[in-house]
Amino acid sequence: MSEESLAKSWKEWFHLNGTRLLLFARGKTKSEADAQDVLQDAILRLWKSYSSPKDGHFDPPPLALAYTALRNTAIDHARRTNRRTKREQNSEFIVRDIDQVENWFETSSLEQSEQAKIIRDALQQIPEKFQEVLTLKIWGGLTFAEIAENLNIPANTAASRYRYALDALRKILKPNSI
Amino acid sequence: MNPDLKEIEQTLYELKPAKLPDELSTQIEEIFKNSEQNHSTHINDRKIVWLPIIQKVSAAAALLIACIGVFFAMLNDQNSSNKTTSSKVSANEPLKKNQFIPVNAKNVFEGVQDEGLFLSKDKIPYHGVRYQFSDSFLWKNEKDGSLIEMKVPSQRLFLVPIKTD
Repeated sequence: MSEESLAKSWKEWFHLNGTRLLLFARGKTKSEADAQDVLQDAILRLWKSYSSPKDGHFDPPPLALAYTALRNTAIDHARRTNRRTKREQNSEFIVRDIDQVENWFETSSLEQSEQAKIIRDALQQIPEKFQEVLTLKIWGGLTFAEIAENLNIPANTAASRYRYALDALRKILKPNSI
Repeated sequence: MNPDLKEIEQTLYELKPAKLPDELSTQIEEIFKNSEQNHSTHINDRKIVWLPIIQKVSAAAALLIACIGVFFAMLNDQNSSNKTTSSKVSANEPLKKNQFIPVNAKNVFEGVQDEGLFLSKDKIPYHGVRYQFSDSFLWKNEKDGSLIEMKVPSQRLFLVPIKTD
């Protein structure tokens, strides 16, 4: 495969999956800037590992692997950020991040935008392990079997976490329903 | 499934992840551009992380010692075979039955093992590095061509002083 067609196939892969990858990264980080950094780092890691003709790999990776790369990058990023935060707290000059609040979902009306914001806030309130399964299932394009393999948990656990996630969202979005 | 949960699930499925910010898209597409450059970076990134400098020096010293060992082994071998030739066996004299003559001697570096830190009586810390070798000797019977091979493991412990100041 030539360098050009290799880059082209990666670009197509990214256009197809970029939005869902960024959504997953948003769920794994504390700010929009962090999510974008994590996505960029993860894509770079994948590109370096998967695009080398010397290794015989040409095609973009399976989506499940991209989520794993995102998760690992988010963990590394969080460690770095924690260290930086500690340093800054000890420093006289405290740098505060001015975060941009981004829409996690596409909206075409004010009403939809409001609903998307409510759901985004609700997603951020539920436990991360539930949110992760929910994101991978609904927007990530993975099956329960793939999620289970990706998270190294049984498929039944993945399905249970999905139900718990929906139930947790229900408690937030519809607190009065039984 | 509870109708409320069904409804929430349906709502979630209707939402589509937002488009990527243009700036981010551009930055990520830049990764795929100049792929050749990235590949060379890739190769550099994957370079082997070698042993720390002190261990590299020790390894080089061990290899040098091993080479010297092989050289002297070969020299000894040559001397002893010369002695035999001059004193006992002449070119015309037939070899004794079942007589084996050494044909090869090798000293092979097998590996290095970290032995941790040692504190000498003078309270000087040393880093112990154990080098393992395999010495092999080969004899051949000139009559019937049969071979005898002997392999002996050997090891040497080097104490490398650690700079503490």
